[in-house]
Amino acid sequence: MIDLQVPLLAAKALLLLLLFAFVYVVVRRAVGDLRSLPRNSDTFVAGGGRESVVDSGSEPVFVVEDSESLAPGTRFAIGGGVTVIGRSGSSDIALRHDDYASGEHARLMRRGGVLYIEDMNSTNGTFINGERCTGASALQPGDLVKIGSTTFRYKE
Amino acid sequence: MAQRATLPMLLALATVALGFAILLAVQQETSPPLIYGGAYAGMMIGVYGFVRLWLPRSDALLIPVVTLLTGTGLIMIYRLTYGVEGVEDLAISQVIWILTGSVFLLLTIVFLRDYHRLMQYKYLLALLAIGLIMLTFTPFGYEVNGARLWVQIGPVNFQPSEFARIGLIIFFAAYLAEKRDLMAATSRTVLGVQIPSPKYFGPVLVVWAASLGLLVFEKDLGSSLLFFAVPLLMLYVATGRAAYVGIGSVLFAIGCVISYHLFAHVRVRVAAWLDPWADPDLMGFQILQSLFNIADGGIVGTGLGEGFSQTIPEVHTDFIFSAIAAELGLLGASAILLTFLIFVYRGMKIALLSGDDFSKLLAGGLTVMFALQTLVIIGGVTKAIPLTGITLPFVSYGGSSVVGNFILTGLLLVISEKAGRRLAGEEVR
Repeated sequence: MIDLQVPLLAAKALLLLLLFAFVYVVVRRAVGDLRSLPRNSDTFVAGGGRESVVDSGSEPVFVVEDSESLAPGTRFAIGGGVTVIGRSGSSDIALRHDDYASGEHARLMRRGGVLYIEDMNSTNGTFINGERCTGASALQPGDLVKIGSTTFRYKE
Repeated sequence: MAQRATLPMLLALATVALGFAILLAVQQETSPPLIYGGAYAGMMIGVYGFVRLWLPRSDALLIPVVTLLTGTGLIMIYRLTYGVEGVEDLAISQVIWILTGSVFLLLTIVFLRDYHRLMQYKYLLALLAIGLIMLTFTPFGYEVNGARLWVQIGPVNFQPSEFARIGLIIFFAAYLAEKRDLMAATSRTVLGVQIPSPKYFGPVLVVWAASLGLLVFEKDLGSSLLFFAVPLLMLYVATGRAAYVGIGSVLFAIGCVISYHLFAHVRVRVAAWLDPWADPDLMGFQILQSLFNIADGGIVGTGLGEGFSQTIPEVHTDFIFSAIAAELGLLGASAILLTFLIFVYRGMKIALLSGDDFSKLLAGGLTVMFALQTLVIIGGVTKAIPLTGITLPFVSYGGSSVVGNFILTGLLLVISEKAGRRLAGEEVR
């Protein structure tokens, strides 16, 4: 009979090595996926809402794509805290005379580096890429947000 | 979403093949019929290929994870049952279950690609789930080890609760997604906690109580625990109110005390957990053998085929993790745990990236259930918590569990496809 002790030992070590190689490769891919999320998704700031000072060159903005009340191309910087979008003049982004927008239509807020939009029980709803949003939804850079007759594009 | 996962897939299959080679060299036995190994590898590669073609934006990383887990399970089941009187063919039937599960996964992604249709059938699914559990009380049901979990219809044996839980999660996700706003709008504040109006909250409560009551009556501790916790966590996900988790924990504590006094088998489990040495030959035997085996494994393990895990009763189902820890050691067991963690991480990621409430709640609910099940059984066999007999997903022997988890993976895949399309759409525009 051939002595199998040494190759067997090597095989056992190789098995554990392979197991961890698998874990390593899978984790690499999973985390790579994480990095492709919003670019300035900094670590979660305790207390929430505050924007990270890093990456100030790429401040998130809402750009008007198409609108009856605002000039296309207008940029709105989205700061920390809550940003209200609506027809009423007191809104942070005011859509004057837009008959399809509610007074306080939707609000934007930042949590852990991700921008969320929440419809505030508007009459005509808020649409993300053509789909009506319910509850708070996370926005990805490039998303099209339609409020009343106005379409915004979210950019970082 | 991570789409290409060919390298992890190859690594997973290579690991499983090497594991089997080592086992055969150590046992110096004839190989099991290779056709089953080939069928298994072929099926997993086929599933991976089909998922890549049919759902190109989905999270295909789930497939190698499932491959590694089922493969490790197969190695251990073969090792633990080979040549043991009465259970010699368990590894082969597990292969057949994995093939069946894969077919169910494929059916799920083909027919439920538009899974939002499920929302329309939510009440039907809830009724079906409760009906399935009730089936165990009819003459079709039978008892194994004091718990009436099994049903036999014709030649098919299965554990209805494994499938019922998926149906119930779909119901809760669909109902909460639809009524969430109504529930928030009609809630009243009692003692600082918002209580939704019974009109909208009622159906959730009824389904929850009915399924829970039936399972407790069945003496299915593990499933009762899952059925209790998962809907509560989904409610938390839907509303974002930590108060529900608080109330849930209090209710859970009360439930534990009541069932401790009401059911003898709960008292036995708790006693065996607190002090297995009080009765090491009977009550504490299983858990003690499990601990001996884990300790025997040390850092690198005894090597496949060289441990003594057959001393643990039911080692190929509930206690398979102890056998892995014994033969692959701390390192191997950690790798398996990390693999479970990756599955859960991907599930949560799918929930986060989904665009609508139903997808978020469904992906979240399924993932939470998978995570809790893993936590409860591994906690049980390592004596961190009292043992409740449930399977380790994908790894343990058990047809219903394997098929149920494959369906769960299929659902996560179709949800991730939709989330992936949503993300990709923006990059194109």
